[in-house]
Amino acid sequence: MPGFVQVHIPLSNRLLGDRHHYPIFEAAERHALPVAVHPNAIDGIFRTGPSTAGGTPSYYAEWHTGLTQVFQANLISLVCQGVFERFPGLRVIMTEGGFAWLPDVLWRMDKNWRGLRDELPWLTRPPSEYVFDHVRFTTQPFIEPAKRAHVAQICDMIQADRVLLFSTDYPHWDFNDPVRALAALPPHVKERVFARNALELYGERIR
Amino acid sequence: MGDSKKLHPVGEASDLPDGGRKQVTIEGRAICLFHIGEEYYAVRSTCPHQGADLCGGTLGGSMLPSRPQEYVYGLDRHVLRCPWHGWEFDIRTGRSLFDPDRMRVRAYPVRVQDGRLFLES
Repeated sequence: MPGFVQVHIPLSNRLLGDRHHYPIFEAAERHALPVAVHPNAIDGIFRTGPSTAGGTPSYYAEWHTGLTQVFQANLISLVCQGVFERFPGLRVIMTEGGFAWLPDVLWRMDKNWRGLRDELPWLTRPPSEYVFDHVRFTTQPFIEPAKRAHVAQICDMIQADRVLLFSTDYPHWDFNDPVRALAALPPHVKERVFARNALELYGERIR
Repeated sequence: MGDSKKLHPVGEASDLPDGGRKQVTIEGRAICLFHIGEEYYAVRSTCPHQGADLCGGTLGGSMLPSRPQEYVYGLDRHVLRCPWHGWEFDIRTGRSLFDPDRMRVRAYPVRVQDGRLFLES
């Protein structure tokens, strides 16, 4: 399949960990193709899109802020359903779904696993480890905290040197400039986020 | 702690029926003693998480490591579940089920001599 580097799965109201998706995961793993997900533009708005929690937002700003919850739900589903135990070669890319929420979700998942392990006995490691090993997150829209130092702190918590992939989303209005947007990243992290992580993920397909 | 093992008397075996448990204190440490079938077990009674008294937890089995979406029940009567947040410990070893190498409570061998129970520390 010349030119193809990944498989895209449109998100719906069926979480990614549902076995409905397993034939696609099996094929993706067999062909060493990562699976990517991306906002649908209809999340939480139309019935065929994934719901956002609590109701339908009125304004674009509400929607754009809150769409990360769809990615959180799908990440939790992938890990808890044991998808990465079933398909150990599978890699998933969460595109434009945010990443600064990861510490909270990973900590919650690990904590719940410690107390509720018997419900998910197929998980042989803390849930966060499956995320670090199998899931990648794109940087745009990159975080802009009031304190610049917080960027490095968040990146440290989420092992950004492993899990982040640079993206611009250009020419959308909320694009990231490759020079300015990630300026607060430590240099060794930046090198990995800009190039190394993607090279390791896609391998020969993008060389 | 000295190099030699000490035996601490903790009562008569006949006072602890099969399925029974009791808390004892050895050198200031609360320890939970169990009688399960032919065996006696003793583990430190303080959960390493937030200090709950494990002796107040339920004893049962749990789901063993398995393939995704398959459940295999096992370890019946050997898994002590913390009454606060549900952390599971194997009373034979004191090891937690979720992180047996790093998260554990101390387990003490129990000796039966002339109908009396002793903890070894």
